[in-house]
Amino acid sequence: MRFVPSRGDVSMEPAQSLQLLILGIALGSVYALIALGYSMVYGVLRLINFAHGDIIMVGAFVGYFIAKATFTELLPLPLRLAFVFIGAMLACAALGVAIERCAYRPIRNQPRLTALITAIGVSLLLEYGGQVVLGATPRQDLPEWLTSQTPLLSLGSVQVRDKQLLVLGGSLLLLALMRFIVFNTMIGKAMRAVSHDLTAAYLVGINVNRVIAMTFAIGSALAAAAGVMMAMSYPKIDPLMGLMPGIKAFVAAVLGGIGDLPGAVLGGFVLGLAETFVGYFASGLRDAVAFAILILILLFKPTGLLGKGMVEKV
Amino acid sequence: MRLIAFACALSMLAVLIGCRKPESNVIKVGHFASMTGPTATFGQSTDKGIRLAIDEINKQGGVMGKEILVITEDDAGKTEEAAAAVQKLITRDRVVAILGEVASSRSIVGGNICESEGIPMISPSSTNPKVTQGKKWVFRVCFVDTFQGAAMARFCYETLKARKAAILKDRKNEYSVGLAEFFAKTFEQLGGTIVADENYQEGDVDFKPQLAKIKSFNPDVLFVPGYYTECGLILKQARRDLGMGLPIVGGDGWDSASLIQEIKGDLEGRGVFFGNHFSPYEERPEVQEFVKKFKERYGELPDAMAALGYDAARILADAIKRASSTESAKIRDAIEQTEDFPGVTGRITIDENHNAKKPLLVLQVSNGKTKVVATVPPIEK
Amino acid sequence: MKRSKFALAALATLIAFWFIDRACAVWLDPYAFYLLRLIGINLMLAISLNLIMGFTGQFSLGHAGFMAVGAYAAAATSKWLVAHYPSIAQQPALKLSIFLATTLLGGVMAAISGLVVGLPTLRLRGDYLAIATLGFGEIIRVAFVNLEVVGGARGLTDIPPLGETAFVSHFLWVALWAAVTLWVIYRLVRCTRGIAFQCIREDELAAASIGINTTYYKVLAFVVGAFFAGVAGSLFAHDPSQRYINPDTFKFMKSIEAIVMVIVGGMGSLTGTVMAAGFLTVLPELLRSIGEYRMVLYSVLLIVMMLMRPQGLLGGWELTWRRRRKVDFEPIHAKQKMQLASSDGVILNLRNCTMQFGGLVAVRDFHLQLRKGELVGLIGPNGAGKTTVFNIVTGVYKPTAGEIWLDSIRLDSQLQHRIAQFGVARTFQNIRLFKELSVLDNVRAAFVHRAGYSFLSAVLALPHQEEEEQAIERKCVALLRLFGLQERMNEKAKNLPYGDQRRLEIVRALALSPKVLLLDEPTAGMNPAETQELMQLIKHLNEDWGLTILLIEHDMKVVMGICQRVVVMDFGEIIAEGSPEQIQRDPKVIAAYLGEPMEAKESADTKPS
Repeated sequence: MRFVPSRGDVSMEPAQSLQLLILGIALGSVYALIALGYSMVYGVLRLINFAHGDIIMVGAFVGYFIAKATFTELLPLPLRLAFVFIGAMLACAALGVAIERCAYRPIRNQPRLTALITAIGVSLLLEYGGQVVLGATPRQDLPEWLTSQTPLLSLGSVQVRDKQLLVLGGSLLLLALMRFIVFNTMIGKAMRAVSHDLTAAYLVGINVNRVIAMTFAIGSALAAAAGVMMAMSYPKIDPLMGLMPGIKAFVAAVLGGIGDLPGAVLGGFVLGLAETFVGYFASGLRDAVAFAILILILLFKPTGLLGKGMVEKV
Repeated sequence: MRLIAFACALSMLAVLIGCRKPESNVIKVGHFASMTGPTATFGQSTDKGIRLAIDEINKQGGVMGKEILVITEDDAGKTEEAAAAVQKLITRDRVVAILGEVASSRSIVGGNICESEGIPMISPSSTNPKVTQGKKWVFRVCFVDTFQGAAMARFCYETLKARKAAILKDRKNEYSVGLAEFFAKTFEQLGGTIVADENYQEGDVDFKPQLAKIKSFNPDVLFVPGYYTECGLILKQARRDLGMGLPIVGGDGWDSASLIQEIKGDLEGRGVFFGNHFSPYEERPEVQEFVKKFKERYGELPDAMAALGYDAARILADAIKRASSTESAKIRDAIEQTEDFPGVTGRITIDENHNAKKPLLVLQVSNGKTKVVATVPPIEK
Repeated sequence: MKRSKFALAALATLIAFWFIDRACAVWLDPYAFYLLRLIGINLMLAISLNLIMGFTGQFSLGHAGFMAVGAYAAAATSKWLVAHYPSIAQQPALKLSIFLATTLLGGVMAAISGLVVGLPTLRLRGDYLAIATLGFGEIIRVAFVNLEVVGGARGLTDIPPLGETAFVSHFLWVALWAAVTLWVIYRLVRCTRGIAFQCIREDELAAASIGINTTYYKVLAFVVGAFFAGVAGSLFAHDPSQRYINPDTFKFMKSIEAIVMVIVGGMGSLTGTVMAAGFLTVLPELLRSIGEYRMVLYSVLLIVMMLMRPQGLLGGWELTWRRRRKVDFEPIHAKQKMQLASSDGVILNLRNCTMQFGGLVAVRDFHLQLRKGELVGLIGPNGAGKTTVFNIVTGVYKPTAGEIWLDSIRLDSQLQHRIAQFGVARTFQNIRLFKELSVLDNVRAAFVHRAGYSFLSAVLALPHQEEEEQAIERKCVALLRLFGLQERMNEKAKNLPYGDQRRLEIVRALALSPKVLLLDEPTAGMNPAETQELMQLIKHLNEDWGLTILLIEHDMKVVMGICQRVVVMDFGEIIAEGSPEQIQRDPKVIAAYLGEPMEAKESADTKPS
């Protein structure tokens, strides 16, 4: 190698590692949100929704348009943010429900591969359709108030910025909300019932279609929130932006145990941290981290860190 | 069942047999570009420049009394499609010459086909040396990365007085990797040291770990030879998240109106520079003419791709005129002899390697606009 | 096919293709020629993937990775050879031979990567396997991006088009290799041993229960599929219109394109894949005129296809030229003599077997000795552990404690398929037939592990393989005839009425020529007439064939009617053992299961456990 090797004589000072830790947690919280949505859908439908990553993108764009709308400028800052988030989340919830109704429900009883391919088709449609409708150029002109990163806390050279706190706080809030919904409400109970056994749930009078639609709505709303957070943290959006985060979040969900909600969150944080630290030491291998983790988990503990095994009844 | 099979077979046959377009009273020129896909804006920009040029020429009477018709084929950013597109243009559409592409990988594939078919090809903006190396029929109207990398290194060393440089490149992009390599070679030859060489991938959005690492080495300048799609974020994260004020330097991949407009205020730091073929703010009359016409027609400022497309098309038309023939070999010879052509991207002479000898502009971005701060002349042999 | 006939056919194909090649070179323009070659390459990709996904049912989302390995291996070698020995390019014969060699090398390297991917991912099913293969495909690509020696992100340029000489064009290579791929995979899946692939797709557990080594066949599918994908990669890299590859060529999208071809054509249909490959290669070209809407249309097409016709264009339909010849059968000899090693005639011996799942003890301290020729019944309430006993005997579970012996062979540490091969056959409580396979194929599946030929001889259509196939078919038909199923032997198993399906499962088990037959509630869901019929059949098998049978049943008529001995289980333990009359009167059995003594007619479960 002609150049100075990128590792070796770099010793990590504690400040450096603390900074990376903060970065990793912020990244991880976004992955956790997306992974949660994946896991929820997989839980009820046993479907890997490839289009989930693209819903992130739609959320980001909806948020972008709302943020740039003239009347948004008139509102005070906290209200503006709320507007952007809620608008994006509602829009994507509707989109998620629509996709489920049109593309996934008709094939609910088909073999899994059919559903997988359909999901891929929906994903491609969102991506290329997005390119046609929104233009392929990435947009970097997000409003200042949305993307500015002012340091709020400083410990020496380590900085925590306002947007990072917002992302982390927002994610934790949403995750707590999810926990409440899933474990403390009727609809949550219904969702869990459906994820255990769809037919049995149907037989005890649960409106399975409605529950599944709700699940998609919630999962998509989470993805939308993640999309807006990504736009805030990395102010560049384009129709293909959801691909990579989608795949990585999926890895996170598998890492935690797909179908297991706390697992998805754990997986998200683990992946975020791993990526950040590997990115520091060996930046060329950063993307490979996600896939390497995937392979390792699938080989040694396919049910994930927190998942439970499924015993096949003979 | 049989019906479906029949339908499939029929459609296949239709494409394979196809139809050869009849000879007509136009001169057909092909353009293959990525009109869709991840690098769609590059292809679309180039196409706009080409069409502006050709329409102008046609309005003035065309070439040899005939109009020029540009047929654009999309390669969706994929090399296999590039091959199919070029094949189709040559065999089905019977074009006399090919313009394209922006990405060197696709230019290489297209160039191979043009080489074996004996059709002249001009790439407007592929900068990888391999595109024209050893080829008889392939040309380019831009400079090559060996020159660009060296020029930028020189600029950093001599003008910015940098002695320690860090590089952040797109590992997956051969343009970025190549440019980084040439930069490093010259920088070290001049006496500087490369203190860090980090990587990212096209599509990444988070560069903070790499930047944190680079920051720890305390370089004098950061060279980011990537595409504008990532460079904007890199700049922002470096300036804002990591508080790095050092001069940041890039290559012609930075050229994008949306990126340039963003760079003002705190993002400027101690300077943002990039090497380019063209600046719409250059004072030269040809440039301002071109910018005015482009804005009138398309409602936006032209970028380097558009400008290079414009020049490539004009050089091709000029070559056909000088050859007074639509025979491929004659057109090729005429292109070879292009000398001191007044392009909007500089005075262009095609050298013996089929590359353009022209100066490189170093632009500084400030307040959402670019200005030329240095001109590096072509290297004389 | 006689050996000489095969060679003749191969030669004729070669010559015919050569003529087609020359004709195309003259009449087709380079654009169409290029498309034709692309079709051939995509065909190879799709067919090889169909073997893995369509026939063996293994989701593989990383097929492009295998193509990449083959492409890089072959191209790098070609470049290196031509760089060091430039004279190669001059001599046509040498040039072509080198090309063949590098392509084979590419295929072999890809096959090795198929092994590397296949082996670890064996245990994964469905979605998990899909994701693992996706991960592997991406890792392979990332590896090539980081491999500077083959150009890294920049890729390999100037790959010498070794396939082209004055008299032979690259197309001939593509056509020949495509034909080879089609032929090999066709022969593989159509021969009896190849039925194993589809059995695995249909029901892996059932496949193992009739002696199929599922691990071996799954890996084989990956290896063979990867090999041809690698060859396709090499052909692509050396194509005179390409001669350049970089890691981006083999992105996830490429795998998707291959999958779409398989799906659209219909999984498990080679003819469909051929058509789909042709159509889908040409489609982007047809859609050129609509420019930016092309990909949008493509994705809409995909979704619509899945919603309206998920089985693909042709479903499982296949173009066959099977000669419908009359199959004569060989009569089955009754009372097959069996030599036993043990002197006391015990053929199946379970000693102190315990099966524990975590905290639950499903079977505790179970013992049983089956003598040769016995017909023993195993009864008890639901959840008593009866099927679990079957499962530990057949190797579905490994017993937590105890020993199981089949004659002199110890079973309890063996794999399922080995146990089946040793001679233990079973049926399942909820019928595990290979639904999409024909009745005949379901029975043929039992002969997979003892078909006396190698896959190579199947591919080469050697005479002894053909003879063996006919022998197997005769045996199968004979068996079917015995059970009255031969009329419907070409129908799909799923279309049979319920009673026939049960009997088919038994026929399949019998085809193993087992030493012991385990029947799990064979009369479940049957009406009295059917039950009576089946009873007689089982009795016949036991008495006239001398087959040792262990029977789980709830229908007391059957148990009392034909069993010589009955074992009663409850809560995982044996609570009684003896003749039918004895256990009928046993108070423990009455309390646990039978209820008040009646003329034991009903099969009612009195106590759910």
